[in-house]
Amino acid sequence: MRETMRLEMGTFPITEATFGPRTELDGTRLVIDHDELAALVLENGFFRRVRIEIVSPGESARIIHLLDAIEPRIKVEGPGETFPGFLGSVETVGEGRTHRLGGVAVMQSAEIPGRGKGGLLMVREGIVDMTGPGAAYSPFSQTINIVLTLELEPNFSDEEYDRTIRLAGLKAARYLARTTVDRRAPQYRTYDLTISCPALPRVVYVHQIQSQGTFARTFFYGKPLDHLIPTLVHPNELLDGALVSGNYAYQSMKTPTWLHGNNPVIEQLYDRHGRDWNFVGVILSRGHFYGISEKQHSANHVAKLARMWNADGAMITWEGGGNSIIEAMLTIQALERAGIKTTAISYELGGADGTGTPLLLYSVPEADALVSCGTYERPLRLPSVKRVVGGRTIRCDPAKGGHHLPAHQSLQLDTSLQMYCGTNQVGFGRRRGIDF
Amino acid sequence: MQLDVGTFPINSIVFDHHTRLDGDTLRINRHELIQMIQEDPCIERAEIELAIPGESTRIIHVCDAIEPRIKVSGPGVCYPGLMGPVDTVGRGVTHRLGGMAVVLSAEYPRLIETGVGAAHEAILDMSGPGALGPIAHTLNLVLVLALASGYSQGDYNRAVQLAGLKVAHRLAQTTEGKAPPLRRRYELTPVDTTLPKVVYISQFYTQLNLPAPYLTWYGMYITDWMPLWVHPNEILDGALIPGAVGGDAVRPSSWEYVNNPIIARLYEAHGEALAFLGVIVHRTRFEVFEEKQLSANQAAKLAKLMGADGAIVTWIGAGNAFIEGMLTVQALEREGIKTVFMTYEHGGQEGWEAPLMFTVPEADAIISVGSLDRAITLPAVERVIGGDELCLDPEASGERVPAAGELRLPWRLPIASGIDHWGFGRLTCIEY
Amino acid sequence: MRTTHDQMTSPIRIVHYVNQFFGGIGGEERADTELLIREHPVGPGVGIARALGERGRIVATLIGGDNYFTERMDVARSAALEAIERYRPDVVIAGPAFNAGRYGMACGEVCKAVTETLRIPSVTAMSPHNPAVSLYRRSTYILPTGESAASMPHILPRLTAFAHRLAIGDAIGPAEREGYMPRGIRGIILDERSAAQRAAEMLKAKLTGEPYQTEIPVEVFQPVSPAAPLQDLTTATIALVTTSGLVPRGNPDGFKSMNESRWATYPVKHLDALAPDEWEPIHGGYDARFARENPNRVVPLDVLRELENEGVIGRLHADLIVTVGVGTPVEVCQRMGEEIVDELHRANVSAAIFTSN
Repeated sequence: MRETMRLEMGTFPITEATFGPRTELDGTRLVIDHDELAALVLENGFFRRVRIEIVSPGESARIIHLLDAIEPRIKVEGPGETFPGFLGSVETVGEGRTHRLGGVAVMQSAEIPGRGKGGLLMVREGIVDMTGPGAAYSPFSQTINIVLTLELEPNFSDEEYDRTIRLAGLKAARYLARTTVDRRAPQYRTYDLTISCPALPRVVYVHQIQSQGTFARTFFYGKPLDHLIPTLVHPNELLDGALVSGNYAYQSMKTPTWLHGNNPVIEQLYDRHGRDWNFVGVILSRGHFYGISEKQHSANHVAKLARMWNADGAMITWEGGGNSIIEAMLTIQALERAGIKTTAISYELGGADGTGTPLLLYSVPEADALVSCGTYERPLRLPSVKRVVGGRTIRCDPAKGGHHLPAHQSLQLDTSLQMYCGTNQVGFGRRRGIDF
Repeated sequence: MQLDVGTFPINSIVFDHHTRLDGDTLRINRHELIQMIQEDPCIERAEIELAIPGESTRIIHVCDAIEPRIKVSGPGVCYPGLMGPVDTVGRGVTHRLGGMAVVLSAEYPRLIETGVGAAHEAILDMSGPGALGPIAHTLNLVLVLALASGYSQGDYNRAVQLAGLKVAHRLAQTTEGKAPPLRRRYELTPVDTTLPKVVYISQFYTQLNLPAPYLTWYGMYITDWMPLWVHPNEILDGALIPGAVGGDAVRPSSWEYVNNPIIARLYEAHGEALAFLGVIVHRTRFEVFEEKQLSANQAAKLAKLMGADGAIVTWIGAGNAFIEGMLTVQALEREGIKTVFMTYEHGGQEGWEAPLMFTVPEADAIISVGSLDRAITLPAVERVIGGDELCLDPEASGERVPAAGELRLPWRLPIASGIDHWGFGRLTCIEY
Repeated sequence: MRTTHDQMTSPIRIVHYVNQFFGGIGGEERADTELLIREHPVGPGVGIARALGERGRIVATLIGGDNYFTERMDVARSAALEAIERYRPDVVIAGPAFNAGRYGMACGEVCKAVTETLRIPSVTAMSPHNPAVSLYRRSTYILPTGESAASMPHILPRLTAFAHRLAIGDAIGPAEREGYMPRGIRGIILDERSAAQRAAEMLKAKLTGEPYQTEIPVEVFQPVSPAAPLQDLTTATIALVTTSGLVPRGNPDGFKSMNESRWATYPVKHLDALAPDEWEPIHGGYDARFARENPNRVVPLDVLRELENEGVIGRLHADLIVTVGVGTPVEVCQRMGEEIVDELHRANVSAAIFTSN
C-alpha cells in the first residue's frame, strides 16, 4: 500500500490587522508594512497606484468594485506551492503542511473598463457590507479584509488586466502568509482520505464550477477550465489553492478563491469522514456548455465516474446561474439513476415578492433533496455607511450603459445580484428560502 | 458495467441484391450503401470496392478504418454522440463483425496547405512488406469518396467519418436477432484485493486549433481536457475514435481503438495476475511546457487516487506529444507507481541515430514496437483502390506519382497503421 | 379600519364565520339561509371562546347558508364585509370547514375579502383535500384539519392560538414551522445551520433511509409539442422572434440584461440585414461578442430577406419581436409567450422562427 495524500493545515487565527513598520505576526495581530506590500503589488507596471485598506467586521463600511477574495496561505512543507500554476510550478499539491491566516481575506478592488459592454464576459459590481442587512449575504462581512484598490494604467487588454490583478492578489496573500513560516500554528488539522471503516457508505463531492472566458473563468493549477470534462481530484488539492477564481460575471453567484480553499461542503464531508461516511474524493465538472448533448454528456460522465468510484452518495454544488443549473440537474438525475443518493445546494428564484414560480429555472423529478441558499430576486435596501472602500460610486446596470450612484448613501437595489457571494452555492451561509 | 461482445466472424464478402448475413458470408447491396452515402451534400460520388488480404492490392488516400459494431441491448449506441445520443455506453450487448473493416478512402482538397492540419497520404497495402498493421489483414470494404467542392475541412471530416459509421452500422445491423458464434464478457468484477492494481493510461494527441481537432469522445472534440478516467467498455463501444482527415502511421484507425489489445490483455489478466482499474484517456500535445507538466502530474495523481500500483502508458502521434508520455512516466514513478511505457523508436533510416527524442531517467521499462524511421520499399501492385496517383510530399515537391508503381518510402509515416502503437503485433527493435 | 392593539391591556375582538349547519340553523334544507348575525359565540365558537379565556372574545358570529354564499357570492361577500367592518374585529376566524366544499369556499372567500379589503388578518381551517385550499391558500392562513368534525377538539385550540397571534401582530414564521398550509410565498430566513451543514445532514438521512424534506420542491415541466409544418412556404408570412436580447443600439426600451419580464417589437421592414452599428445584444447570459460583430448570427434577418426576395417564403413579418431570455421564471415566459402569440395572430403571421443565442 502506498501512502495516501495527507495534508496538515496550520491555522493562525487573526483578530486584528494594523499597519506597522514591519510585516509580522504579533500573537493574533497581523502587522502590515504598507509600503512594502504596495511595492510588491505595483511591481508589474500595470497599476498606476494602489490604496491598501484594512476593513474589519462590525465597521460601518462598504467594499465596492470587489473582484477576488483570497485567503493568505503558504506551503511550509511538502511538494509544490499554494496557488500552484500561479505562484509556483504545476507540481501536484495537497500533501505536507500548509499555513493559513484564519479570518483574513485579501481582496482586489478595481474598476475595469467595461469595453465589451453587454454579454456575459464583463465585470459586474460586487459589494460587501460589513454591517446591517447586507452583512448576511457575504462571508466576508466576518473576515478582516485587506483591500487592494488598484488604479489601472490605461490601454491594456481585458486579459492583461485580468491576469495582473489576479497575480497581485495572490502574491499579496502569500506575502502576508509568509509571516507564519517557522512558527508553530495554534491549531493544526490533518486532512486525509484514508478509510478506516470500509463498511460506511462512500460519498463524493461534485463541484461544478463556471469557466467560460475572460472574467467568467476558474483556473486549476493556473490552467483555465473552459474545456473541462469531469475529472477526479483530491480535496486536498483544493485546500492548497489548486482552484483559483477569475469569475466576476455575477458577483452574487460566484465562488471566490477564498471559498475554493475553505469550501464548506468539503469541510462537512471531512468532518463526518469515518463517522457517517467515507469521503472518497471530488469530481470537478463545469457548467454552461452551449449544447444539450454536451450538457448531457458532462452529467453522464460525472455519474459514471461516481459509479466507477463505487460511490453510494454524492453532494453537488454549482457555480453561476441560469444555464448551468441544467448540467447540475442532469447530473443529479444521472447520479440518482445510477443509484447514488444525491443532495444539492441551490439558490432559488421566486420573484421580487416570493410568489413567482417555478423556484428553479430547470429541474428534474429526481432532485428530491435540495437545500436552499436563498435568492437574489428580492429587492434589498442597504443603509448608508460611514466608510466606503474600493471607490466612490457604484456602477449599476452596466448592460444599459451604466449609471453611477454615490456608494456611501443608502442604496435601493432591485435584486441582490451585486451582493458578493449572496447566492453562492457552496453553502457557507445560513440564508434560505422557505414556504410562508 | 457489464458488456457482452458477440462476434460474428466474417470469412467472405460478396456483392448481392440484399444486404444480409449468410453464415460467415456478408452479402452487401452496394447500390443501397452508395445511395445512403451520397445523401450527404459534401460527398459528390461514392464507389465501393473490396480488398482482400494477400491480394496485390493497394488502397490509397486512407482516412480511417471502422469496425462494424452495433448495440443490440442496453443503453446508448455504438459510436455514441456520432451515431446517437450521448448516453453512457459500455453496458448490455454489442455485436461486431469480426475480421473486417470499412475503410475510408478520400482525397481531401488541400484547404490547409501545410502543417499538422493538412491531410497527408496514407497507403494500405494488402500484401507484401507494407502490410504492417492489423487492418492489412482484415477483409476491407473500401468506400471511395469523391468530395464535393466548396466545403470546409471540418465539414469533409465529419462527412467522411459519418459515411463510414453509417455503412458500418448498416452492416452490423445484419446481426440483429442472430446468436453470435463467439461471445465474450467484459466486466471489472471485484477481485482479490491483494493483486497489484493496474491502470492503462492511453495518450492521444489532439489539436484544438484545427477545424477538426482530430479526436472525439462521445462525438465531442477532445480539446483542452485534463486526463479522463473512463471505463474500458466505453472504448469497446466506440466512445473514443479519431477523426477522418488522414490515417497515416502515427494515427491508429478507429478499428484499432475498439480492438485495443492492451485493454483485451488487461481484461484477460484481471483477477488472475492483476486487478484492472480502468483506463485514463490522456490528451497530449499541449502547446506550453507547464501544461504538459500539469497534464502529466494530473494523470499520475488520478492513477494514485484510483489506487494504482502499476501503469501501462501508450501514446500516439509524433514529436511534441512524446514529451507528455515521458513526463507522465516520470510523474507516475515519482508517485511510486511502477510504469511500463510502449513506444516506437526513431533511430534514423539505418538505426544509428538516437531512438527517442526526449527521455527521463525514470523511464526504465520501455517496450519497443518498432521504428518509424526505417526506409521501406513498397513493390508495384496489380490493383489500386482510391485513385491513380498520389502525392507523398506535398510540402516539398508536390509531385504526383503513379499509385500502382513501386514506392520507395524514406520512412514509414505514409503507411496506414504502419506503427503498432498498442502492440497488436510482435515487431520490436533490438540492439545489434 | 383596524386599530392598533395593545397586547398587554385589552382583550382581542374576534368575528367568527360559520355555515348554517354549525350555526345551529339546520341542514341541507336550510342551505339558502341569508347572512345572520349573533353577538355571541355559536357552535365551534363556544370552543374558541373557551380556549381564548380572558385574552379576548367573539364579538359577533356570522352565519351563512352554504348555497347562499356560493351561489350569490357577490351579495354574500358584501353583506359579510359590511357586518365585519361594523364590529371592528382584530381578527376574523372562519370555520373549521373540514372537507365540506361549499363551506370551505365561503370560509376562504370571507377571509380573503377581509384581508384584502379591510386589511384585517384572518384564519380558517379545513382539510388539505378541501377544494377551497388551492383557491384560497394564497389569500389567507389555512390550518389543516381532519376530514370530518371528529377532529374539532384538536383543531379549535390551535385555531384560537393562531388567531390570537394574528390579532396581536405577532410575526408569523414559515408554514412548516407554524403549521399552516403554504401560501405560495417564499420567504428568506436565516437558518441556524449553514447550507453545507444542512446538505450534509440531508445526505446522511438519505443514505441511512431516514426521512428528509427537500427545501426546494421541484416542478415537472410540460413538454411543448411543435406545431404542424406549413403546407406552403411561398405564401407564408414568417416572423422572427428572439430571446437573444438583440435591441436597437442604445437599448431604447431599457431592457434588463437578466430577469426581464417585458418584450418589444422593432420595425425591420426596410432592412436587408441587421447592421452591427445599429443593433446590439444586451443579454447577460452568453458570450455576446459574436452577436455584436454580426447581429444576424442571432437573428438571421439577412438570410430570411434573401429567401423572401427569392420567393422561397411569402413575406417576412414587418417587426422583429425581442425579449431577453435569461433568468426569467417560466411563469413569466409563458405569459410573454401568450402575448407574443396574440400579436402574431393579429398580424396574420403563419409561422415564426424563434432564436435564442
